[in-house]
Amino acid sequence: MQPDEGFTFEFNSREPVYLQVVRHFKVWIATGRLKAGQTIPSRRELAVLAKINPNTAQRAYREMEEQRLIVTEGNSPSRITGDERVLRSVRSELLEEAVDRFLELIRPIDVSTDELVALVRQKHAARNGGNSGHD
Amino acid sequence: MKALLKLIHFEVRRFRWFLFGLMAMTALYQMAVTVVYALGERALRMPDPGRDPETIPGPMSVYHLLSRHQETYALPVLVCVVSLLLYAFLIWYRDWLGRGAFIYRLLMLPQPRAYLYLSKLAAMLLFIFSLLSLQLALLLVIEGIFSAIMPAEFRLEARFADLVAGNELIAFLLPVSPKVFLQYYGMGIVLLLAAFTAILLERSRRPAGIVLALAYAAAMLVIPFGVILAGATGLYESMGLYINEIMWTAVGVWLAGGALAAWLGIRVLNKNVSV
Amino acid sequence: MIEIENLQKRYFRKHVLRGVSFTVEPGLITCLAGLNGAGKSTILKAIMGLVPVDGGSIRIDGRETALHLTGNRGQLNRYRALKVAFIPDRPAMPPSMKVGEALRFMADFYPAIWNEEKARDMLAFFELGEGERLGSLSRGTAAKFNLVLGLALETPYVLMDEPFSGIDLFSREAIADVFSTGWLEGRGVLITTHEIREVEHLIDRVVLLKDGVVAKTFDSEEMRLAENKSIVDIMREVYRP
Repeated sequence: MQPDEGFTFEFNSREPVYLQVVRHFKVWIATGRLKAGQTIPSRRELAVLAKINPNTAQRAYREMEEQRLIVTEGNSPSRITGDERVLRSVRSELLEEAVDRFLELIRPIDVSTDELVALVRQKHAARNGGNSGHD
Repeated sequence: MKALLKLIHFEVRRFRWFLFGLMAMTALYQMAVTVVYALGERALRMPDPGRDPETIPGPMSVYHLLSRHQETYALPVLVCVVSLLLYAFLIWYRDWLGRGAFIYRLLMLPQPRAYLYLSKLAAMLLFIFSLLSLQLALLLVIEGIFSAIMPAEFRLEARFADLVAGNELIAFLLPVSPKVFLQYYGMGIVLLLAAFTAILLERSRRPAGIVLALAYAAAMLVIPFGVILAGATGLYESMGLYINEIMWTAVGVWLAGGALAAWLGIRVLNKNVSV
Repeated sequence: MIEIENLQKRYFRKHVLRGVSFTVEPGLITCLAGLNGAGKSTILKAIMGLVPVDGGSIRIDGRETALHLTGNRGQLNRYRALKVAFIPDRPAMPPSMKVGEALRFMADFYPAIWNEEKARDMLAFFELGEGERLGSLSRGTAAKFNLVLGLALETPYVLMDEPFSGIDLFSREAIADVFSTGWLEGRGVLITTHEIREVEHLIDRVVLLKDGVVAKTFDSEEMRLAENKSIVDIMREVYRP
């Protein structure tokens, strides 16, 4: 997991850094960048990679372990969980979060669900070009 | 203990070029001057049919050479003395001045801060005594040069004690009697300790520090003047003291003064000194 | 833990510290922040015994070390030196010294805690050569070397005085990177800095100094979690209400 492989971290100053780290991992899991069972860097390596202090990295890992996103067996390096349910829930969690945020943004605008869905379908199709099969 | 030696080594080392410079200057100067004068004296005594035999000087010793050219030989010595006097202060102030701020490092060292005081003292003593030794050696060299240049018939023998006595300043700095030597240099060391302590006082509570330092210096001067005044006003005679007792009292007072200076200086270094 | 309690310091008429109290926890990075002249530097120097204070207590792992209370007697100088490494805001070595000589100096006087290997690793990390004269180093390079001299000492606590002040961008980045490495890990770090943004994501705890006392202390992540505020936000609240 290296920066040159596209694993870069960007943080804002108002949310807890360790939660932002967790979110980065969730995005990579949802987008398939991090596969089930893939090994991830140690706490120390993560600190250097993300340019955070090792305590924060520690906290992030603990949070991910609690959310069952990663598993650590004994002294071996931690790995992304292989549990399908967890992986799927990550995906839906991110989707829901994005949708919630989107809906919050357009709340002042008066629009019907049908109109919204039609717009989403149109935009989504346009983005994916000729890519069909994702409904 | 080993750290103290390392600190002394450090202090000596950082001054070494200047010390070598002083030594080289003194040596070269005194030797060069001796060559020039000796050649001159020899020329004066060369048999010359044109000259009246009455005006040709008789044989001379190196003692005469030295005593005849007081200021010349004393000059480099004076430079050394002044340099060391200056360095007695600089050896401390250099650590505070400049970007270096080396005093931070010194105060943070795990060793007792007394070592800082003692190592600078030891270094100064080493400088002083190495220069003194150099001068003694140079006197021998001067005699050697003189003997090499002046043919035997123009030369008179001189004892080593005469060599020392030849130059006033040198004679002052190198008293022949061990008792006098101890006396002078003992007092000098106590004054050096006082100077160190005054410096440290100045470096503690600034700007009040400088006032403290001067007050302390004034107090320290009371010792020698007090001793002398007491003698002059006949205080001792009235107390019925013998010469020996007076002397030992004076010694005691000086030793106490030195000990007090060292104790106070180290205490300031530990408790009040400020970067 | 380093416990500062009711620290007082006057400079002539100016009452710089009027009762400062806070702690430096082991293993965490604490930032002492405040406006210019607030006395942050003075506090660090006081902990290190470089400056006497007029009142208050400084306890390092339970033992009192304030100069005015202890006279620095006994083995206190040694105790302090073995517990806390101080990285001042200026290179505290003679300019005529070379990099290698400075390292040997430290190794000579700190035989118990000097980690030669760590020093060499850090030297390589910062791309510093051994033969350079300290006086000829650029400000950024000198700051990096200063770090080496401090961090290669295996002490449980590290104090850093304005590690980023007046330093070029790339040197600053290199220094900030040190906070992510193992060289600081497990050590209680107290840093003073104006460049909060440089270290916003690296700090565990913040102590805000205002008018000679501690105005606010907080855990940065807790603050973000609870109030969605950054360190800079809180500083704005405290210093510019």
